[in-house]
Amino acid sequence: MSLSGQRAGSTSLAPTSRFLVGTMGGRSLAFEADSVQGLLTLEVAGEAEVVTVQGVAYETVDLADRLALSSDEDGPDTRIVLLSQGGLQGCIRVAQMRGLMELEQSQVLPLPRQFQGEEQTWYRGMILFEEGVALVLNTAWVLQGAGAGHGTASLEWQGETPRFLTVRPELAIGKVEEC
Amino acid sequence: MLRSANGSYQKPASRSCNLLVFSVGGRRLAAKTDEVAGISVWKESIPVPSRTPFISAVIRQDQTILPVFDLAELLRVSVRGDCLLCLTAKHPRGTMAICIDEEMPVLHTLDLAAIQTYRGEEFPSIGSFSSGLDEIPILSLSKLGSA
Repeated sequence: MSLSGQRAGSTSLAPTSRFLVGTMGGRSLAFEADSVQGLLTLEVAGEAEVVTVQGVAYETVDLADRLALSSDEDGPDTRIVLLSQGGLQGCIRVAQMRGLMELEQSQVLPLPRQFQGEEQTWYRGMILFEEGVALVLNTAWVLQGAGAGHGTASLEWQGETPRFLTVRPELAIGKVEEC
Repeated sequence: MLRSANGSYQKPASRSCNLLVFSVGGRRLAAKTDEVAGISVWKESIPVPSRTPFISAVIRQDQTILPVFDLAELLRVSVRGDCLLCLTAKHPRGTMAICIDEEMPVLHTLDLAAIQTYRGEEFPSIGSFSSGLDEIPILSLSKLGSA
């Protein structure tokens, strides 16, 4: 399962990338949609450190801690983002999903060269989002933190089919919809 | 040496440089105008988690994103005023923004001979000059963040 899809409403032949934008600690963070395997509500994900969906275990990544961001209070908009890339899986809690963007690769702006520290490995770049900027996370770096320092409790889905939140591919910048 | 139209040699022009004098947290500083890309109203910055000293935010100017160098933090002061200004600095790694006090910067032409050695080491400088009883350091904007 992937949220990558067709390009929406564009006739340009330039290669595009799709990003899911969420907020964490007041920052806008963009996830590469190709790596997003699903979005879960807290109700569905529960409190386990490892969420297992369709036989795949997603260990919690405390991204707020790794980025030294303030932790968000859980709320009705809190979502668990399931990520997978290169054989690694992890899940990340975000305060809110803000939308899906499809952009030409040229619209992914590089991190300014003044950033000289290890943050160069944290981000793939930046994108213009609403009136501000969203940081495009480097999924490979994010998933390096999967399971670090956490227990091995696991939530296995039983009974009902997991309720995923998906994003309609035709939305260029749209609301995340529950289905 | 330049020659005049009548063939005689001109007296060498006074060697001077143009400076922009501004303040950060009430501290007066100067920079060479050829290292300044512009002055504008400060827009709210967007924090970026970072490990680079004094670079932990960006600002958006239309379709452009500029990194913010936190000069106030380097100087251990807080910028002053309700209508802060943005000094856009030319830098070898790309243009960057610096938040400065709301006090409007002033242009100052200085004879190069008046530039003294600046002994402070908290930021890169090309010297300083005297203004009344004050010594105003001349910041090297192009070397900020290169320590």
